[in-house]
Amino acid sequence: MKTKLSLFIVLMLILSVFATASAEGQIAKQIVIGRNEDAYDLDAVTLNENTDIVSLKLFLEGLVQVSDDGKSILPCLADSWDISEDRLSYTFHLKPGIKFSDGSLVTTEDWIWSLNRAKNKESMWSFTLEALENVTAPDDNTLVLKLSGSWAPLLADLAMFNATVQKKALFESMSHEEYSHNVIGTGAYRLKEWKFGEYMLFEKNPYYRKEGLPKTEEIKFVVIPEDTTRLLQLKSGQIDVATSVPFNKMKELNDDPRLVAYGVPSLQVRFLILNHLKKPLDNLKVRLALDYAINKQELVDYILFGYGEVAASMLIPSEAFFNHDIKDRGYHPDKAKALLAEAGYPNGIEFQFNTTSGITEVEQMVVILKEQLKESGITLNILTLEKGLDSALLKAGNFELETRYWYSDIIDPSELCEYAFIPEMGRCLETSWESTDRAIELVEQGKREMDPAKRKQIYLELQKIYYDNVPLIPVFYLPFRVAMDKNIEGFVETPLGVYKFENLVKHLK
Amino acid sequence: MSLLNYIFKRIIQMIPVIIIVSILIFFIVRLIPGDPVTIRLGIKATPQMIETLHKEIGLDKPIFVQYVLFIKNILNGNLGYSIRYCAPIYDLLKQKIMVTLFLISVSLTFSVIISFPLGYFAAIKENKIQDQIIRNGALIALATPQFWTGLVLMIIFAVSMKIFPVGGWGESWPQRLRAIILPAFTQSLWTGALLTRNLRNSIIDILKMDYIDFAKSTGLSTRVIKKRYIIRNAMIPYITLGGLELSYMLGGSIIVERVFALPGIGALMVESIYGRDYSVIQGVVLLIALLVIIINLFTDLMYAYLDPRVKLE
Repeated sequence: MKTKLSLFIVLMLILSVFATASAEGQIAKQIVIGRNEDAYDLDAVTLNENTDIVSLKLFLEGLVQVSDDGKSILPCLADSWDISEDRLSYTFHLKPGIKFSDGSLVTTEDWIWSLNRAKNKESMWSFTLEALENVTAPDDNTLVLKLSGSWAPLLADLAMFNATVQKKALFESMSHEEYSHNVIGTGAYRLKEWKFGEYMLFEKNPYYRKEGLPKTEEIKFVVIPEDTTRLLQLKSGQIDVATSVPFNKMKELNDDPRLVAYGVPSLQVRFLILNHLKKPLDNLKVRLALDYAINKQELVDYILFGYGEVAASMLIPSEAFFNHDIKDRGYHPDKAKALLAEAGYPNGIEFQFNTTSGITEVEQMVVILKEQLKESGITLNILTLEKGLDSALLKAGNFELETRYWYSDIIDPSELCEYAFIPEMGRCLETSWESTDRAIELVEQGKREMDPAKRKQIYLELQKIYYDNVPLIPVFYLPFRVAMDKNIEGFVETPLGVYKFENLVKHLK
Repeated sequence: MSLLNYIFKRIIQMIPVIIIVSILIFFIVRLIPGDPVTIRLGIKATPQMIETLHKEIGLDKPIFVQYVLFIKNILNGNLGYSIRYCAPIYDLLKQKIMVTLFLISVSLTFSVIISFPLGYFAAIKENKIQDQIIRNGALIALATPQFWTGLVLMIIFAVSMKIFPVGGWGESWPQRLRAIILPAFTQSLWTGALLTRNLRNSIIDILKMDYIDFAKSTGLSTRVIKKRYIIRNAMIPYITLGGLELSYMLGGSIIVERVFALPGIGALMVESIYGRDYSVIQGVVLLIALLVIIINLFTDLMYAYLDPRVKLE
């Protein structure tokens, strides 16, 4: 009897070890990510929102991709590429046997159609493939891209979401509206279900080229517009990851033993928009005065809680050819007052500052700015507007000061410099500065110059021109913020805001 | 007039109301600054792209022509297309109206469950401590913002006690039944408070009526007097207010939907206003108008049932 009991106990102990071991090795079937808004359009050529880009990059891929740290270009659906001596022809060697998530093979016809569609002037992203003259396929595994002229950022442009391969036959079989919700690609996941305004559910792509990946069966993006609700859902375990975490909640989340919150380096910069069409903002001295009147470090400390850094250049520090010699002018109310006096405003000046309601960071920023600028004799009248109305007034040029952020869609400075210096492009990004002939010339040179050392000089000079002329005032660089369960591993977000979830898992206790 | 005739007549009367609402919403929404196409396409859109999309969705036509086309489409059962979601309005509304209707139905049920016993009890204990507690409790409920109440309930019952989910809609009906409790309770507090006070005041007035004394003197039981004379007479203003509040809840669900991440028409409406998605705004407003008319019809039918003196005509 005693022997039987002992044997039973030993058996139970052995079984419990195995049970524990198997539970420890298990991962969750589904990971739930809470975000503040839904996507609207998954067609890579017609989309407009950041959530669209983030969503479609889970399942659309291009010839090349950006590395996880955002510093280099790596092969994706092309194994390798050769560049002709004259830099006018790029030959990409495609990985064989790549399939779309419906099981059909990706053909060179799909590639040619996708890239031609991306460079079509009807697409708002076509400027990235401006130099692409034609695309041909000498055989089933080769693509040749011919350029109209040398184009330095081509690889960075090809890593962008609009240069991904999509299925031509699917596009032609339905209306555009239907297509924008039914896009398929070659990536690790495919869209399984989409309830507008509620959630997007992605499932593992059974035809994905990498064996054993992705590790997690399903990724679900749920829409939780209210920040507090999203964070409460994270704390209760209802969601596993929360994005767009408010800066003032980061510490609180890190104090929770179950969670971790951190900033992901990004290519974002927040800036003040100065309307040059409204006097006296066309006066350089007035714009300089505004720059001297702002204590950017205080804004980083009180709004970003130290998670960002002060901005001086319109490019981002991690971007190629960033000018490290450009420093913030610093907080000097005395210099601001002197400049205003020279500009003809010895008794100070008043500006209206339009802002959008509902963005915490902005609401805090304008309140602090109002106090800071008072020291320099600048009175800010804050006008808080509904989102659509604020955008309408901005577009119509009916404002004096505003604030927005921008971030680069590629890991090359050419895109942002295009917006910063080319007036027609700049008006798209709320700049009303007329630029300079030298700057416009340099922007064009920067795109065409293939020698990295010469390109560097071009972009260093462009940043200096921008700094000297103060068309906008860069305020701070800010990271993406994410919080998650500590059992999550493999969460990758590049500085472009693109997720890479091949190795994303949630370990079960 | 027979019931069916009365309902038919009210349906006919609905038509000019819907037409007037459609005219008002169609033109008013276009007065708001901001072009839907520019907002949809974003800052990088070229003038040609903007012009192309304007033509595609008919915004290049004169406004009265746009209105005629809008009415013509509605009569053909086509509510239009959301330029923001790239989806038919009908599909969007179908998905989301169920959430809002479920929310307000459960909210109203909670409001009745809360207000009925409390209102009656407060009335029969007029000016006593119980009445004062109930009246002040109702006042607090009226004064407290729904946003705050919702978050507090969420923190206590969802995050700490884990009895309910922290917002969201759920994927199955059992999950949805659990998910709707906190938001419906949050929304019910305001209406429950109003109905409590309304019922209390009505019953106090009724209790002072001569016919109540007469009923007592005839030896009728308290239960019969309560059912036949007190409750029945108090129901008329109670139902009037309940109907009004239900209509208010339809349009006012946005706060609760946002706090609890419910994908209802309130949330859809806000997004559409931000995006100047005219078709969605028009569709939602017309739907709400139709539902309010139906609620009013139902309220009037209840009057006739409760009070035989009220004739359906």
